[in-house]
Amino acid sequence: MTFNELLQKTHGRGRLGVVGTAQRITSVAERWRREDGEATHFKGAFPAATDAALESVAKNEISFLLLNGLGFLDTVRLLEERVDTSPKPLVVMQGIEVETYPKTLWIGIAPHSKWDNSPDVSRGISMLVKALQVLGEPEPRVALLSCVETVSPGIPSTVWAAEVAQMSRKGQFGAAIVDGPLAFDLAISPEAVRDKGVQTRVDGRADLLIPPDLHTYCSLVDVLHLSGERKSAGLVLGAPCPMALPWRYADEEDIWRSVKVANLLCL
Amino acid sequence: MAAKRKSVVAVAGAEDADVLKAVGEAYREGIVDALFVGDGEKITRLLGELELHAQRFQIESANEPNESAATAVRACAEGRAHILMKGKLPTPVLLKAVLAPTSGLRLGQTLSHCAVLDVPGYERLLTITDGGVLVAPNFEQKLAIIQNVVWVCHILGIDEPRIALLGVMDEVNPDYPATVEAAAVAREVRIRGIARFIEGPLTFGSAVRGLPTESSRQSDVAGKADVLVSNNIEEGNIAAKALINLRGATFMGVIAGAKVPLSLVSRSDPPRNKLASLALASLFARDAP
Repeated sequence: MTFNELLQKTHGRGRLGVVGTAQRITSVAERWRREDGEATHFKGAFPAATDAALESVAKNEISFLLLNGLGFLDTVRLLEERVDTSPKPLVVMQGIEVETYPKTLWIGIAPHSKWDNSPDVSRGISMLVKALQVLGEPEPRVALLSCVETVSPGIPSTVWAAEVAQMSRKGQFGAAIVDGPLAFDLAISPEAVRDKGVQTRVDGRADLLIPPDLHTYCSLVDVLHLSGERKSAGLVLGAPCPMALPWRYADEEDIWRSVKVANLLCL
Repeated sequence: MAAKRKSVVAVAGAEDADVLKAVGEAYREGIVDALFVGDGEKITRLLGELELHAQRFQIESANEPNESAATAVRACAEGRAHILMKGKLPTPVLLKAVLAPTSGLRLGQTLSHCAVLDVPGYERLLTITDGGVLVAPNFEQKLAIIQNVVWVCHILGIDEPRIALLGVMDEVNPDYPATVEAAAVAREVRIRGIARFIEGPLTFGSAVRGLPTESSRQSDVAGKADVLVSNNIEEGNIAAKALINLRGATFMGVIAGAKVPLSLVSRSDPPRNKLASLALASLFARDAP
């Protein structure tokens, strides 16, 4: 899956709601109106505008949202205060394309859940897997990241990953191939998998990376945004409608991409 | 001025073709001499296969990993070797031998891993710590990690490193306890005089790209960090590996905190990274008292 392939698939149906005051947000809303469909811009202070947008979603006037203006954790926190998603956690995912990897690399986490607690993790991963399947990857390869590929009680994230991988073997994530613990190179490099002689069904061709904690998620997404050639899109899953939540370093094209991908998630 | 003596690297568990090749390369480049510890017969045979003359190196036989580690550690403690390198044995076995009370290599500090990275597009070396030894460092261990990385920076010629404690945001927010701790660690580091330029929390992006333009905050670190201190082993390890594998960074790994530097070269490291790691370690060894 690549962004080019994804953007060709967009159906353009759906009424977009936009929250945010930056000029590029206005530009994206105008572009949606021009190229695709309807867009409503909720102006004013971010929390109040978000409330108004969520009301419109509840009334079925809006089918998906673009949120841009607060930090990503503050935005997620605000949504969690406004909508009850239980028992499912609110999940974020970032898709990033860099010139050194042949497809879009997605990274996902439920930022405020107990990510080391299996009910939240299995629900969160199921939501991420389902999103990738809707986007057109029927059997996504999912890598549970840690610092090593062996299971060691001294490194709790390796035990966590082994537990989740076992769920996958029991078929709990459907057709997705979920494996871990995997060191980063083993998740994204078939050569590293070969050189180290590791048996892994992800085989260095991950579609989705699951970091063990929020620190790792934030730093990894920042690292992948360092490249000038990168393309990205950010999304929120599990809210009352699909939401585009571009990363802090997103440019206008990344924001547009986020909107188009969120639109694809409107069923 | 006396001619500089070449550093000797003591390899524990040297019966490994990849490690012998890396050290052999460093030997050919004139960076190091070597003492190989492990299965003597196998080492000699592998050296032959690599077209390296066994008689140019010291070889000491050891029967099993613990003995290999102890023998290599002893050589360093006695001053016969100046760098300790991991060959074919588990990392914990080697760390245990270094930390043994009688090893003679302890400084009474914590050992920690530093990944020194040359990242294309970033104008300075970037060191990420600790993505290799301490799993979830507490407050005191973070201070030790910072002390160790300051030592590493001095050897690299960075007298006053700019250090960022990584956070999920740039502000202290009680909803995210690690941001509170980062600020407390930064304060303690300044009070104890371990480093002058240290700030936390800073996101990875702010540390290397600068604070957002709308921010009015003044910073000695943001946008020009020499060092990033991660919250846990996973964050440091994964960020470094992402820079190496997807951003083309060159990597040199060293474990600091003992009397000699410890070099861990991973089998999957490309040859230039292996060579860089040994070159870095030899710098350390020369600087040692």
